[in-house]
Amino acid sequence: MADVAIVGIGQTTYETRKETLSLQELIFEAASLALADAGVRRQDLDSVVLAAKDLVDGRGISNMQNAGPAGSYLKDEIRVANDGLYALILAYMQIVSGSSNLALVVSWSKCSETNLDAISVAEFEPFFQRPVGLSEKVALALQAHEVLGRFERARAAASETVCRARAAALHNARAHLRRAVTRAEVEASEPVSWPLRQLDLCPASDGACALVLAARDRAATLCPTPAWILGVGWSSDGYEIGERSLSDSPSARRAADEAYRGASLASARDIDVVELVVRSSFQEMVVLDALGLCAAGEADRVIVEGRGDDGALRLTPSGGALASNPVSAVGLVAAAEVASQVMGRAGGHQVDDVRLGLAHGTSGQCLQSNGVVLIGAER
Amino acid sequence: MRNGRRRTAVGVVGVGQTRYGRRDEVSTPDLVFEAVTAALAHARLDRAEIGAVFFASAPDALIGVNEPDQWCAGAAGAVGKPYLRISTGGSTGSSAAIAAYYAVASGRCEVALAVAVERANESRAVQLLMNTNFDPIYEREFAINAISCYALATADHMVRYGTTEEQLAKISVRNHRNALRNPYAHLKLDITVDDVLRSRMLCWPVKLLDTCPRSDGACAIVIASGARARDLRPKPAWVQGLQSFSDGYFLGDREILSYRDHLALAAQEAYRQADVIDPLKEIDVAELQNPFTISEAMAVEALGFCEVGGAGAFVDAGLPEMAGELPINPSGGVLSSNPVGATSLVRVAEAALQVMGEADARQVRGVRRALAQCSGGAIQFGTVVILGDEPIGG
Repeated sequence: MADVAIVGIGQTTYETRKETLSLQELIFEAASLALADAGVRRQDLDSVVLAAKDLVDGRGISNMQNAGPAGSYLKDEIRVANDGLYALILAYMQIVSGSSNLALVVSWSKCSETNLDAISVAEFEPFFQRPVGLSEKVALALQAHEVLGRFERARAAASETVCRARAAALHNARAHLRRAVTRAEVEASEPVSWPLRQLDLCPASDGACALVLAARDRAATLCPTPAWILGVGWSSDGYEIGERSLSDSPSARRAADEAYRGASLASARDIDVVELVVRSSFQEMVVLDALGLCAAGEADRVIVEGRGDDGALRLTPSGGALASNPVSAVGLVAAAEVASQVMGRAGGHQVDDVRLGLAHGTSGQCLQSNGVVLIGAER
Repeated sequence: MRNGRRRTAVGVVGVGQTRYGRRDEVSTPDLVFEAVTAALAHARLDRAEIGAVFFASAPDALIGVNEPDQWCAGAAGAVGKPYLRISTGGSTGSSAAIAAYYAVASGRCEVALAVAVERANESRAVQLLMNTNFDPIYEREFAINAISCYALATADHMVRYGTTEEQLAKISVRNHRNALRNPYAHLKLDITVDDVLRSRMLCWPVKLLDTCPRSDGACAIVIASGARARDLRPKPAWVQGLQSFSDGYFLGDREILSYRDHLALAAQEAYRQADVIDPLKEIDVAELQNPFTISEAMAVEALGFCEVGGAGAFVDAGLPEMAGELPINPSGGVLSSNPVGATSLVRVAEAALQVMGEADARQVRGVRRALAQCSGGAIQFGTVVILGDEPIGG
């Protein structure tokens, strides 16, 4: 029995540069859209939960200036400094604990006003890691190298992942990169750090996303088709990328196990649609494998050939982070997309017969920490 | 109890603190490890029994590592566990405690850990960093930072209510005197009102001894469900009330630079949850987040310990002294130790120790209920946590 449901969704479009909007206006747009969608006023909210990162936003204590446009003036407000999906999980716990009946979750990034590469260097520990020139791209390349060693058809699967994401984004009116690419184009795109090429990586997007969450009784009155949160799980691995296998993600596995247990899910095969967050095309194999969405070690084959059972699993129909990457918010976008699918309101990229979906988010380098939220049409 | 729902019994069962001050001999993860190890030992728990970990630190630039929660995952004991980072400026530590409360009260886990760390000494330009908290177009150019922001609030209080620099100096003297009995405190100063008044002017009317130091340090607390808490400790510090509120951002948009709106609202809600009607009588000790002397004056008013504008008289009457009616900051408060992102968790931790009767030389006698007040942003975020010797509902 679910205690919490998503009853309102607000997303901006995702673009290279939202020149006519300030960060605050961007946040206000998503928050307002979500409130209007839920048919509630700001005054009705008990709490606001935010997810944002200071360095991405280019200011200290980013929720000082951004809490207001997110609707939190004289409200209970708290900010998570991880991926947006973690704010959803915190809001979920807040409601289940009885501390709030109606919460607004908001996350955003205006990547056009920052330098994500430079910021990523600062994520590495200053004494041993920074001096060897680590950045997120280099770390992702190290990971991709390990993935090449584990999965025989990794290069083909990575390219196929990019092609699928771009093809899917063609149907998503909000997506950032809306141009189809071929495997050959991916593999001929500019080398970044071997074996990664430019098209293997996410773009940097401007955009914001907001969800309204309601406690059980409230949800039923607010929304004819609430998207129920059936299970949540999240977990962390160690920080040092040299101390863990980068072609596996134990934390994603634990997060999924916890969420599946919470939803009393017998098999991941009951999931109709998933929205995964990957920072590189090679991560798709690691995440699929760790979430149990394919047989162990088969992710490359499944991506290239399909799952081979009924083929019913729909992978990231929004295009995901490889098509739209408001970097702090991508996990919340994944949840918004799954909720839209479950409510049957995903528009051009709606898939058929969705009863149960999975949203994934990740924080830290090379999938250090992962979150999973299961969202369904029935309580 | 909010919205008519009863809160489940949740208690603080362990507290761990590092020594605050300049800690060149250890790294940031070392500080985290020190506090977490101490908190687990205090709760008599093994790391394996922790169900989730909530990390807190203030602006990343203070530590100098972006997303320091990831760096500190191992030291925080979070590998293999649910783990996330809370960031709400000065109130970050208490917000992490609230997040841990949600995890336990929602039934996600039986025991959760909140850990907060700061490494303020490695930043050579703290106020320059604080300047980046303000609007890049309209405010940054005006040299607004934490000190000048509170200087505006001090001047406002003096003009509006006749509060004197002497009255504010007494707040500094008491906090520093109390710190002499706190083994964790950073500054240990035996000073007089005259010393405060004659200390270097930073930004009128705020003088050096009206302000806090910048400290390295970490603090951790362990929070457990009712049944586990009774198991672990004869006298847990039960969560009776907790509430945060955020105010508007632009200083000039608010009628008055005070805690009157957001903190007063948070206090009202926390008192309602804890069934407190007369806070001055029903709260036995308070730990207030006072990075400046004026912050304490503003807090006692917003918390209803005295009427609005009455903070000066409240101080003159000796009410917040250790032997007074409502001892404030037996720990020495933020004026003596300010590990920025951890500071507000220290308030909760010290309040918990007072309820447990384990505050050693700084213990107030017969504490049944303690209040921790935390603030963050530029007089923008306010949190009130009320801990007591019995759970809500008995």
